[in-house]
This record gives sequence, C-alpha cells and structure tokens, in this order.
Amino acid sequence: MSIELKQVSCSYNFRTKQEILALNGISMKIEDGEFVGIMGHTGSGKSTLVQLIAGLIRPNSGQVFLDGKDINERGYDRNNLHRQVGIVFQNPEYQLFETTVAKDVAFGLKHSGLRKEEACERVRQALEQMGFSYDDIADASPFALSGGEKRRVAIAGVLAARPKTLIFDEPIAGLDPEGRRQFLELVRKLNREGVSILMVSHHADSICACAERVLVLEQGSLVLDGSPKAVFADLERTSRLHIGASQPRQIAELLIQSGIPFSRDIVRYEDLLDELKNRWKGGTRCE
Amino acid sequence: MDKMVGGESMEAVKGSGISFRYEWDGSAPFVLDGLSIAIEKGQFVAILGPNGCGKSTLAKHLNALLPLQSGSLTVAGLDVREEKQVWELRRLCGMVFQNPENQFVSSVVEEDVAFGLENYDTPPNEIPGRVSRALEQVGMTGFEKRSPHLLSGGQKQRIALAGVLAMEPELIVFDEATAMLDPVGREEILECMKILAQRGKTVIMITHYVEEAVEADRVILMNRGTILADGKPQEVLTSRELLEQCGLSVPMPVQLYDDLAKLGIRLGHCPLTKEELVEELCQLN
Repeated sequence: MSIELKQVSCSYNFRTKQEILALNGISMKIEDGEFVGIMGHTGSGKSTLVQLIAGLIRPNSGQVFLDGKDINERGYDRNNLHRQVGIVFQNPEYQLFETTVAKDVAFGLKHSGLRKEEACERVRQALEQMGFSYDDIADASPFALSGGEKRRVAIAGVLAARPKTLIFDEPIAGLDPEGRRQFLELVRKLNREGVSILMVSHHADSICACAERVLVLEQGSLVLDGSPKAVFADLERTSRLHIGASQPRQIAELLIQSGIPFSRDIVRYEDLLDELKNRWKGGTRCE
Repeated sequence: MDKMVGGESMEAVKGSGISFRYEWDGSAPFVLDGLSIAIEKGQFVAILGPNGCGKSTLAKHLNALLPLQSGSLTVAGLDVREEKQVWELRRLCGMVFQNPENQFVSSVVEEDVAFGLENYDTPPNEIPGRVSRALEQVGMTGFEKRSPHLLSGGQKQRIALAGVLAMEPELIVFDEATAMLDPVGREEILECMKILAQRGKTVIMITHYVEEAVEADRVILMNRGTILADGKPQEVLTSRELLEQCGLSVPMPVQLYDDLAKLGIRLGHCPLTKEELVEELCQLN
C-alpha cells in the first residue's frame, strides 16, 4: 500500500502553553513494497511519524493518505486501516497480558470475523514465523519467557493479522546478535513477500543491511531522504544528527583518514570486504 | 566475612555455587546453574551473554533484588543474605538499568538525584554538595533544574547514574544500560564507565554487545546460567567458537581479520577495535 504525507504537522498539548511541535510540515511518499529505515535523535519525531501513519494519532494540520485515501476523513474505515497497518511498539513485550501465548497472539483476531480454525491457523503460522514451535510454546505463560522470547511473541501477535504494511518502532534494541539476525531475516522475508516495512532504529548497521531508503528526522523535520549510501556519505552530518554510521562505513572513514584512498560508498559488510579484497590482493596493495 | 565492613575486602564480588530459578511453576529451569564468580575491587568487567543466559538474573543478585536460593555471595564485603545489611548493600552496589525512564521519581533533575540520599537519612546539609558532585561526575552540571523526561536518552541515563553515584557506591552495575540509547548516548555512557573505572570504582557492565565488551579489562562470557569463558577481551572476544556457541558473533574487526585471511590477506595481529584494524591494514602498505 502506498503512504503519502502532505504538509503534516503534529503537536502534543496542542494550543496550550506546553505545546511541543513534534512534526513540522512533513511531506513524503512511500511506495508499495518499500523497505524504509527511519532514523533521528531522541525526540526528533520518529515515533510520532509512525503513529500518524498507523492512524493512532491525528495531525493538527496536513493529510495522511493510504492508497490515495485520507485516513483522517470522516467515514474512512479505520478498522480496516488497523488490520492493514500493523505496528510493533518499542518494548512490545510490555503489552503481553493473556494467560497463554496462543491466546495472546490470537487476541487481535477476536473481532476480525475469521472462523475459529482460520484464526488458529494464523496464530500457528505467526508463531512459527517468529521461530517458535507452536506445540512447545502455545500453552506457556507469556510471562515465563525470556525478554527476547516475549518480544517475538508480541511480534507474532501483529503478524497474525497479516498486515500489508508493518511498522517497527525500535525493534532491535535489547535483542542479542542472534535475535537481531533472526529478526532482520524475518523482516527481509516479509518484505520480499510484498509487505512494506517501516523500521525506526538507532542501529545503523541493521538499517544499512536491510533498508533501501532511509528517512532522517531532526526536530520534527525531514532532513534527509535517500539510499543508505547517500545518507551516510557525510559522517560529520550523521554525527550531528545523532544517527552515527554503520561499522563498515566507520572503518572506511578511518582508512580514508589514515591516508588510504577508499570509497565513502561503503555501508555494508560485504561491500567493505570486497573493497579491501580489491585493494590488498595477496597481501600487497594494488593501486 | 559477615563482620567485614565494605572497604576492607580485596574482592568486590565473591560468589560460589549460585543457583537460581524463577518459581513460576514447579518445573522452572535453572537460570543460574551453580555459578561461581570473583571480581576484584577496581576491575572493569563485562558480563557478556545472549538473551536469557542469566546475566541480568546474576546482576539482580548482586544487591539482593533477587534472594539467593543456593550457594554463597558476598558483595562489597557484605553477605547478600543478611537482611539487616540489605540497605547498606544497596548503597554500596549501585545499579543502572536498561530503561532510564522507568527509574525517575521526580520531575526535577536535582530532586531525582537526591532521592536515594533522602531515603538514607543523609544529613540535609550534605545533600546539595553530593548531588552537585554526582552531576559533575557524569558531565551534567547545569541541568539541576531541568526535567529528566525532556532530556536525550544518554542524558537521562547519566542522570540515573548520578542518582547512583550520589550514594557513593563501591561498585556500579550497568544492566544493559546502553541498549535503549542512540549511538551518541551509548558513547556517553561508555565514557562514564571508563572514567569511573579509572577512578578506582568497580564497574560491572552487563551486555550482549561484543563491541562494548571490548572496552572492559576482563570479559566473563555467560551461557545457560554458567560461565563459559573468563579472560581478557583479546582472549575471549577473538574466539569465534566460544561466541558462536552462545549465539553471539565476534566483533566486526575480528570477522574481517578471518575473512581477509581466507582471501589470502593476512594481518599481523587480530584486531579487536576499528582503530586497531585500520592500523593493521595500514601496515600492509
């Protein structure tokens, strides 16, 4: 589904003395099937942006269009919107509340009108997508799981609704490398199957490894919008914006600073290895 | 040992045979499985391990947030089972958690930092001095009257740390204190840890980021409730076999060292940091 924002502004405590402008006149378009990373300093408006797209909050001015329709117009089918746009919050594990994992994952399907068997099948598939064996985990208490497992159960609850657009707000913070690898593999797979992915993250390595496009926010404005290579070309700028850079990009920069001619286009590990290979074949430097 | 006052023992942490399970039902697995650990005073130690390995559970034993079920554990010279000493134990062993927002109690920075002191009946005339010293140590002087929740992630975490430092602890445990922070915030907290370690505090960093563990003097690798390896970062973090065994990966410079070797490009030493890697690459010229 396509997502379009036209001159969207959004404040908290609107029209009070404590008004904080969270988003300031944002316009952009995300096409169906894109994988977009969203980065920016704490308080730059990332979470506000994704909550507007998910229809959880309304803008003070401007419009949000999904597939060409203004979602904040009177009469727009918001139930349908919430089924089509799934959002996984920071610390989704805090949302778990049911007595068993299977019930928790099924909760969002309760009023979906699905037949019971169909709903059960979706729960099973969602848990399996998240790397669980359904039979092992279905009857366990969600509160007896480790932090990483809880998070995977919470994500399964969103997947069960089979959304067309999936939004993740800081999904990898707190996951260990194996959990991170599995998570990124899953979102890539979902994206290949046609699901649009919007991923808010501070983790430049993960963004560079997955996203085709990166949006960077600063104080409520969209300040950068481009490929990871373009966004991370200028490291002074990315540092000022508090988004850092992927490790391969940092290594490339250190090499450049040491006087070695090296590409600034390197944001992924594979590219770094390739470039090093080309430069130092057989242990000697090739010009 | 029971009578020993904090400050006389050479070991900040000494525990043996520690086992623990969360008793949510009868068949709960052991989260800590007969673990033994000793940390000298003034050491900067990283406890590294995957999600669910028991590292946070271990951390919560250090200041008796979780009761010791079996084995023995002495922290800052105090037996964690002595209920009478638990307040003193918690003063001597400060903790910074993952999410700074969960630990704020006041909407004014200086009040938040003073909260612990007030609870410990610190003479009121001492409090302002200790608060301002604590804020200075974390580089947050000038933020006294600000509201904690309007600060950046790294600043919030530094305020939480100042609240701990105001208590003048002997050891400080950072339980994944950088996990929720952006790269700048993460750097800020790592820098605080290094400074505290230089000033002789015992610093224990609980993490699953190998890149952060590199900064410590010693790395204890945990898996399934036990210690899998214990040594200098150079020994533990260059071992692909050990790290992969518990679902972690080697730091990227080590990965590159290995991958380059496969391509016939050999570096003199296996680098742990980006800087060491670049140094080694420059040697090739």
